[in-house]
Amino acid sequence: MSTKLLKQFLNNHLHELIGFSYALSGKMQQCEDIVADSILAYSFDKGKVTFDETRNRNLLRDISKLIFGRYLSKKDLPIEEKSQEEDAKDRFFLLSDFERAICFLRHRMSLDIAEISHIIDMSSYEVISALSNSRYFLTGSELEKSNEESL
Amino acid sequence: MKRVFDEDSEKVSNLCPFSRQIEVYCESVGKKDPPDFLTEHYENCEKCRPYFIKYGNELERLESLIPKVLKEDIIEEEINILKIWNQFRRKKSIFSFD
Repeated sequence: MSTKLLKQFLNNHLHELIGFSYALSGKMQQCEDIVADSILAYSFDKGKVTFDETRNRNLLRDISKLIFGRYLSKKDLPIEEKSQEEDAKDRFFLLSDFERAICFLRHRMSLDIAEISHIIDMSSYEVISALSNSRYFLTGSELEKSNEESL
Repeated sequence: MKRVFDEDSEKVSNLCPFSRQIEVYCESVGKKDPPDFLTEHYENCEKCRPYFIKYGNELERLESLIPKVLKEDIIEEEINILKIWNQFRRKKSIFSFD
């Protein structure tokens, strides 16, 4: 694989991969290392890798799977409890790891349910359910009032 | 119990059939490239317009809460990853017996 092709892939998708990593960990300083490690791991595992536009979507899916797996395996224990009174922007980080991943993959990376279930290792029904729950959690309470007014 | 069922069925039968399509469309493709029939319906149906607005608002709110990384903000990271990649390739070619 040539550096030129990798450059093209990174130019199109790096912001999505780094965003995905950030959506999971909430720490920007680790994202570059995690994404770089995942790309190298993918390349090492698959041997000769060809980055081309037709395969980019599969590649994006497989590297996202590695990022997710790496995040779960390196996750600090014990789990930190977050306060419910945090800024609205941080509401996203009150979702579970799986819900954050699913939300990001769906709404920021525009992956379909089958691709998300492959990355997260969940059934399609569980993915749809998690999407719906997280949408309700993120938008429900505040929008209920405004919707009642507009309806 | 029967009364609740009657109320629900009445509520459902009063809904415009497009209202469910709007929800499905918003969930599947977001707000990108709405199909013509839905755009037309939004313009013509007074009953459904609030639903378009409701789901549109929900999507906007949702999207604003999900972190977004812009391409312009990660130029340095891209260069670093390419450097690491080139180092990896070099080392692999030296130590690999393939």
